[in-house]
Amino acid sequence: MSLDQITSSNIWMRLVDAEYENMDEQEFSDRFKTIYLEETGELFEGEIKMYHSSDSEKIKGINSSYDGTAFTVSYSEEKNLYLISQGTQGGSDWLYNVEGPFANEKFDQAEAARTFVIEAKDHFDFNPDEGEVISFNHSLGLHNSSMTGLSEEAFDEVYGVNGLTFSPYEIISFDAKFYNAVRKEFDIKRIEEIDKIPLADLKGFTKDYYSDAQVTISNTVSEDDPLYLISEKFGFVPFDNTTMVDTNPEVSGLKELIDNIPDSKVNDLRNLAAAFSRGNQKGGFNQGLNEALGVNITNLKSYNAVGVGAWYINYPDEVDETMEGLQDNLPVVLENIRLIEENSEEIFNSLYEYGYISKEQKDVMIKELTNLEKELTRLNDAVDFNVDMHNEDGWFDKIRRGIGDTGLAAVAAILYYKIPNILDRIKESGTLESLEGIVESHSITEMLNALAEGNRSYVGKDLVFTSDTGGGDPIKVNMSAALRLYTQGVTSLEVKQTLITELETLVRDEIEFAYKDQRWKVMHEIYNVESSPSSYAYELGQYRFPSYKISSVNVLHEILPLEQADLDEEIADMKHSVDTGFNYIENYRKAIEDLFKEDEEVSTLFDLSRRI
Amino acid sequence: MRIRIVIALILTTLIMGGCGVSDDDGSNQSSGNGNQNEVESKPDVAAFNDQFTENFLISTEPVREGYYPFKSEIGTITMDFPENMVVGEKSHQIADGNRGEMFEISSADMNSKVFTNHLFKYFNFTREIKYTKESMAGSTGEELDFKTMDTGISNQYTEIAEYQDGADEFLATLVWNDNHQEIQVFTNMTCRDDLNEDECKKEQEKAKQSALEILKTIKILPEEE
Repeated sequence: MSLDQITSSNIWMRLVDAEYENMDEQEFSDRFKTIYLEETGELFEGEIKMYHSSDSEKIKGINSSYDGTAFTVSYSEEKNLYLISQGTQGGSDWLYNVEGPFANEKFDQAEAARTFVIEAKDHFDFNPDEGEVISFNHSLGLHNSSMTGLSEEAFDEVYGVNGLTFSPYEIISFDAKFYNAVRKEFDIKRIEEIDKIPLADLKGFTKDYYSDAQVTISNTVSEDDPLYLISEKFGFVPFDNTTMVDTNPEVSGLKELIDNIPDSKVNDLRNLAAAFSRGNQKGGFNQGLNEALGVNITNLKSYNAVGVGAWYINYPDEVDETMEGLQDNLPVVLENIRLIEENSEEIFNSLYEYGYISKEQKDVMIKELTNLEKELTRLNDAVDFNVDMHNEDGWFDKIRRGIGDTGLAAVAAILYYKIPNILDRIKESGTLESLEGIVESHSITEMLNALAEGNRSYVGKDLVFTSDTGGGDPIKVNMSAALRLYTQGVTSLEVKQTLITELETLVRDEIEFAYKDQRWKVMHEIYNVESSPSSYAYELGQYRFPSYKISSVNVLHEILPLEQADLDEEIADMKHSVDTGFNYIENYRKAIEDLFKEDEEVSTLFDLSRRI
Repeated sequence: MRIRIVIALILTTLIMGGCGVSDDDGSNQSSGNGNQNEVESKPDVAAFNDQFTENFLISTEPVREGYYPFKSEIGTITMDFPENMVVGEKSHQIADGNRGEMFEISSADMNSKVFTNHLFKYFNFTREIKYTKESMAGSTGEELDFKTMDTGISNQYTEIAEYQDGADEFLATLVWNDNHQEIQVFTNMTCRDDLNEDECKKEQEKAKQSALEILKTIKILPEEE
């Protein structure tokens, strides 16, 4: 048994996947040992201590959605510190992806990771000279850990699965010495000038600069992982040890599609994301939308509630704001949509050919994008016509003159009905669900399956063995579940067995004790009577015979032995039930072992799993 | 919900589509402190002539000669801002829930003898200050020897470390209080190429004194509710 095994991909990737469950120390230790056993066939007998970022007052203060677990593993003379950084999980993480790494508008998760590493070493009183500090990451986790690892050499090794790297734009404000190197290399004086540097040059320099770093960073990436492919396009810096894996052979890779984005448009996309991010930080999602697209959704609620006429009579400020926002931003949005629409045949034909969407879905997307472009064009025209509302012959003037305004009705109706209806039809087509397959390629399970060898595969977080024994279709057995059933079943039956034994003892003891106690009381009383008959003269009726005195008493009383006074039958039933349970479980185990006759490891797994 | 789909659709298709978007320069004005200085009353200095920087200056009245009152966007940093420097819009970032703010201020004159940059990072973290010092040392790659700087500002602490890399001079400044607020400032002072070594040293010393004039006025304010 060696700690080196922990860095084998199937072990650490499964650990990272399991860490998403936010376990306590005992659960984490058990899970670690289970994964270690399933992957190596050996029992891990070392010690595991865990510290979660949610237990850290420092990380709570950062309030950054950063999630991570630090743990030490000790065995014999070896002791290492490991840190797991979670990746993109919930909505807040995806949002962070846009706002942080892509838009360069947020920096708190990387700072949280930086603080957590320092704190974890302190918490465990871990001396990096006496052991290795190793980081395991998924997705956004690698982004945070690699920045810390490269900037401060906080780790000896960093591993990532579908890991997001980092952009030069981002690390420049994170790593002061790198910023200084960029200033010298490209003769810039401040961050403001960084856009002057061609992206390819900056990316190349960043890669070279960090190539001498002490830390080894390895990233295993799906060829279909959208996050990685997009990040590559955005100039994120790849690591030398990057292994690309075709995790979904049924579809062609997305790389070609993403590579088609013109380099000249990358900055525009970044600016769009930055605009959204700035708005989102100021006032939440709606504000983000407002900044990026110029549509204040809150205002449209008033339109829906009161109708178009009353909307601009009762809420002129809202109408004013909506129109001005649309006038400022709509042309950009329209241009983006128009360009997508113009290319929709190519985009959706590719997605159809790559196998992500059906022909029907492709047709719906092309048709509805055309409709969307048409409505946005109408919207743009209506806004141009109406935006000078305060001028003579503007909206308010028309209202005063009782003319009304069909243009405003058009604006509101397009925003509130027509565009949502188009989007509803897209939604109903199931295209978005079909595209979820792309996101699946970002998952750890798909990667584990792609890397799995022999008869092994994975379902969710469980290990699956496949048997070809006996011909016919292969039989898949969820070994993790089988081992859980076996160990938990056996443990549960053993607990039951112990309880029955205790009950049996208790029943026997209680009845026998009560019998003996009562018998003793009776015998004691007989002894009293026989040894001191005069004391019992009255009770024995001496007063009825005045000329006699009781001189002795001989009590004739038979105490029968205790019979039929137990729960033997019931206890036998209980024992039988436990035996049956054991039989079922052992038969289950035997059936699985028979399926994998040639794999002695299976039997070992069952035996050792009970020792975790 | 529908709008979320719009965003998802637009971003997804834009990213995957290989299509162009507009040539919009993407400049977005931060609202800053919403300063509404009248054009005619603005001092004719670099700080006020830069539209983005102007947002952070809360008065056109100087606090002392050559310095104007500055307040960061989330309102937790104030300082005397020199008239000859500007705030970089691209450097400006705000963390979730206004728990952090980052920005760079630099010499407005790109051709000055010594070009000075200050990268400010404000955090409202509850981390121990020793972690911050460790983190700053990691970021600069230097063993930072922090020394206390007397600023005369009560209820906060200021420490500063100096270091060199080649001909460049650097300062690493840490300001914090007992309310879990801290500001890190990374300052660099780079000489113009045509300066010889002696001139460079002399000008850097002047620049350092100017930098200290700013750094010692940094004040942390409580977070606004």
